[in-house]
Amino acid sequence: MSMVVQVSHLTKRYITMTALSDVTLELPEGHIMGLLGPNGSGKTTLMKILAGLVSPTSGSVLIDEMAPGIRTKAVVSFLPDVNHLDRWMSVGEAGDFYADFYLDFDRKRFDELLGIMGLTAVQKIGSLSKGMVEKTRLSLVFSRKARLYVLDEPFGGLDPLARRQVLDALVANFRTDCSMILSTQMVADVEHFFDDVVFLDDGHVVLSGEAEDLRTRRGASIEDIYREVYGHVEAR
Amino acid sequence: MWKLVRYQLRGRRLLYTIGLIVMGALTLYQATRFIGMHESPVQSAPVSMNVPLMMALFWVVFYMVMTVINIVTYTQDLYGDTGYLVFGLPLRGAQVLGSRIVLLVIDTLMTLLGGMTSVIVLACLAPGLAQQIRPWVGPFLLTRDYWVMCLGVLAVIVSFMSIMFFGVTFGKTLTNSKKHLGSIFSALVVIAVLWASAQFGIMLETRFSGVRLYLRPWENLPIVGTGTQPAQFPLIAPLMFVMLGVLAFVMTSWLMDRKLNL
Repeated sequence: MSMVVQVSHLTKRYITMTALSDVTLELPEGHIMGLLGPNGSGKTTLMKILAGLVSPTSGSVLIDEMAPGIRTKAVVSFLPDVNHLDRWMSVGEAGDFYADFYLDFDRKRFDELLGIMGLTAVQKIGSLSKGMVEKTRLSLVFSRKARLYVLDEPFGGLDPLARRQVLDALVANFRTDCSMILSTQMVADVEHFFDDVVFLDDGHVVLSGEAEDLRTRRGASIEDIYREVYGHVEAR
Repeated sequence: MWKLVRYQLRGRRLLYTIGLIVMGALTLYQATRFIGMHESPVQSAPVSMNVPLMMALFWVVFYMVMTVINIVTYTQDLYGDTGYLVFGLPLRGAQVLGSRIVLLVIDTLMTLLGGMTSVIVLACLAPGLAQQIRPWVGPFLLTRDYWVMCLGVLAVIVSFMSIMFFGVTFGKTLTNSKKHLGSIFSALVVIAVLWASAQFGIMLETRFSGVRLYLRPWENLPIVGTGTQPAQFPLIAPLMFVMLGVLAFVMTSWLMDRKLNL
């Protein structure tokens, strides 16, 4: 089984803090990895490194056997945890933008997803509610036939019904020739999708492994393991 | 790169529309000063000369505003959320930065064309002015030295912007968590580079004081500037500044490709 992501001894330091420290992980093709941890644990930094938006201080990162850069940006579909779309764009223009720059963008699939999400191409991003912006962003990300999907808190602004819609879209569009890394605080909603789980705390990997194996060994759900691992954080 | 330019222009369409409406309104306002002077074209001539100068000043302000917007939007891309869209694209840093430089050139051309259009509109409305400058307009626009001067000024402006972009990018590569620290650092880098280049430029100009560029940009419009007499322009310091701008462009592109911290 080929590895889509190979991270080895990755460290990221800023002037005032260390965001990631000696992180090592691998993600095989066709797997969905849950990247879990409290706020400030380093999840977003790791995802940004994979998306080529942050440069590592040391260690190695390979995506499809390539170091992050212009070539990996063409095969990584990244959803940041904030609205990255320009407010002046319409939903259709956002689709045009992606189609112009990403060769793997499937316009037909985008139009289908807009229909499923209840969006129209003429709506302005600036006039959409938070949940609708989230749906637009997810439609854009899933319309790419990427090798790696990196989703940072994809369910942030969604109500339970919309969350269901998005999860259905996620399942329907996931292919066996790609992989996904997903970070979320709503562990219970998505944990049954996870093939692998990585728990981060203060920039370190504190627990990792196959989701099913962890459940069996510990006799608990991933959400319960999350509570167990981060109990000290919640108590802080 | 051109696709990115197209999208950035599309994002600015409202801004451009507002800017051009304001400039159009100012032109028309200036034009109202000629009302009632049609009977006495000769009397209107002195007033007429001040009006296009005032108009030119408005366009300089317009250009300065657009330049500030260029820097602010670039900073927003680096420090704000839209940076994930721009810097997540499979483009090289040089292409992203190049699109910004192209936008600056477009702003410059728009300002030049807008300014010339304003003068033509005013000239049509002002009989005194029209009589004074009409014979010179054609030859003036074909004056080689005038365009050499314009290109030189554009090269210095582009270099200045490259240095600004470098400062902003360098500040951002150093820090992520402390956003204000990054912007303060960016400002310090820009100030330091501009100060050092100014000092170095003064030193070079003193050392090579004999090396000057002699141009006659107004030779076909003798009512402006030195007329047919050649004007002296510094050469060494601007050349040094342009080289610094090229260096800033290369270094910024490298930082974007290798050291970005969004």
